[in-house]
Amino acid sequence: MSSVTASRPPVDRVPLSEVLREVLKHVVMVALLLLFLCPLLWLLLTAFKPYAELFNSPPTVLPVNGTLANFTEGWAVGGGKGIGDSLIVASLSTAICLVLGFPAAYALARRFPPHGQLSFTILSLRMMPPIVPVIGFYLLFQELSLFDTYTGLVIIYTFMNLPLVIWLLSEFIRQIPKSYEEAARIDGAPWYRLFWDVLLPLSAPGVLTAGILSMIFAWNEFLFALVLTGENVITLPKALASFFLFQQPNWGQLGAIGIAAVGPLLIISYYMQRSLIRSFSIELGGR
Amino acid sequence: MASITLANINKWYGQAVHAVRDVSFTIEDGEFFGLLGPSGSGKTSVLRMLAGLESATSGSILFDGVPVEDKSPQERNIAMVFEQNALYPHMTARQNISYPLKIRGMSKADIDAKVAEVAGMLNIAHLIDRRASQMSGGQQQRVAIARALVRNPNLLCLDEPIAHLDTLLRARLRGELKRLQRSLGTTSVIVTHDPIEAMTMTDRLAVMRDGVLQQVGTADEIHSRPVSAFVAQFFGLHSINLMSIEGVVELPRLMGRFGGETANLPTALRPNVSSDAKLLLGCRPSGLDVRRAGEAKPSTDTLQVRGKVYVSEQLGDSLLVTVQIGPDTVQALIPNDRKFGLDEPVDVLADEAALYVFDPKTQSTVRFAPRTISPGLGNPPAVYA
Repeated sequence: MSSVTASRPPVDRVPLSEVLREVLKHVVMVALLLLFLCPLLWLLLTAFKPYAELFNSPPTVLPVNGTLANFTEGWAVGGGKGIGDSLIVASLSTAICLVLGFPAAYALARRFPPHGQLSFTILSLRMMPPIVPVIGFYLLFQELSLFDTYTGLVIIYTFMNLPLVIWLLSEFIRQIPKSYEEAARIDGAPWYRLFWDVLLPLSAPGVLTAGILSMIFAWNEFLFALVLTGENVITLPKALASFFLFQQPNWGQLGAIGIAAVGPLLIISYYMQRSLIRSFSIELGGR
Repeated sequence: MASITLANINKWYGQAVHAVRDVSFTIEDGEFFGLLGPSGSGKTSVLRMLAGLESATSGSILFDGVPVEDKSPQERNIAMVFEQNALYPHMTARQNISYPLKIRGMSKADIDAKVAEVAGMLNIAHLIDRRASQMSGGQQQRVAIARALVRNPNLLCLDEPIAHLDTLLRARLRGELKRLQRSLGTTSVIVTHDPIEAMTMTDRLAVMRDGVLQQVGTADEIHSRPVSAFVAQFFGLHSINLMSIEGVVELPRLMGRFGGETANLPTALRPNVSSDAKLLLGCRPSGLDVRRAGEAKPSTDTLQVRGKVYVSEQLGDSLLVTVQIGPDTVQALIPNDRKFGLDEPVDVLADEAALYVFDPKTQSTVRFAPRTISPGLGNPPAVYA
């Protein structure tokens, strides 16, 4: 038995089994994390290596002659266009999704029973494998002269993300007590002020989450971009894929553009963690 | 300020739920009116129809004689304090209070002056730049009341405004709200399920049950002259004791069975005995007395029945004794100079003058207690007088 002294506050004794369990838990977590982060790390390291160094045997892990050339060249050979086009298409479709989705979500949340048929039907549109409608869209786009246009791709991404945005927002709005809206009506707010002053600020975390997810999906989308665009619109995933069309892809440039593709997502996800988790746990809590 | 009339108001939710049935009453100008009832009684629906948040299925609502059914809450110029989530959480107290004025396009200087005025009135000046999450429940409700009063409404609607606060705070806000309403003279309606709130705060009140208006009157009227066993039971500090007495006979004293025990009944109740020899009696706990078994002699003007003490509870200056009589229990509020042990045999007594008689079938009041005994003490039953 140790005596309690002023200089050393007593510490709860932790049983050995508890310590072992914690250690084991952390070993497993670190192992899994390494497994998932390894490709990403390799991509990052590759982006800073000159072309010749990639084929060193044995391979070097850290770049020996670090260079930024891959980034500047990658930007020039299609990365810049890819980022620009992806930004245009993703942000426009996200904006339209939110503008159209919010009123729909509000109606769904306030006028229909939770987890009802309508809500499910809307979400089920998102469950369809994208490969199913793509041929139909291809023919349709040819007819409507939407093939290889920004408009076409924005329409497609809106079509793709709207169900998710509506569903996510409606679940979020359902959690907002009606009394706020009633208070606003009683305070004399017309509908647009009710929306702008009360509803929008209260649902901001939901709007942010829906917006980010819609942005991410559009940013990552490959299949529709591949089939429905040609030379004119080249989004980032398509730009990345086009590297493989050459006889020997420039891995360094590929890595640099790859970093540009995932970097923004990682940064956004990191900062939005809380808001994202909050929205998702609301979804789960609503069951 | 306005006087408000509801005429034959009905509210259906869908085809199945008839939430409010043919309700009519009038609220005088400047009156503090209460809507009292258990949950599901339709009181909140009535308030929401008054406020214009819901429309009545049929019937008319008049503000100063003018129909307002087609008018929005804003056009009716009503203000409302909600039970919970009353304040906009993303705004400070100041922004909350000034919001209705901002909507009306009032100038910044005027808004600031009005906000300062109500903030002073409700003692919330020091909280004015806090958000809802940085205030206690009581402070939030004060701010909500300030927001309601800041624009001089025709009608102030209070939907259980203090129901979720703790007991002490509730008692304090009760008083504050009543003083505030008196000094401003704003016509106000409060919805509550708490008879004490209704009794202490309002000038007049309406008791509702299952969508039907039961009784309208002052607290004193409803307390002393309840129209039915339900109103008598629901309204009061302690629930009234209902005693269903069967097999009433006169041999020659009036006797009947209550909870399997033989009860001695006051002769005065003879005309009230139903054709199937039944009597439904009501007596407030303050009208009952409890004596050790055999201590009191049966008389022709008291009810007396044998039971045993289930439990006795100290209420400070009085004693609440629950007596078990067969499967039934009654509660008596007596001076606390007496002590009873568990299961001690006792006689329960009530003066004839403290007894209500209800119709055993319809539960409506047949006879009011001639002498009403105020709740609390100072008025012990005069069975030994």
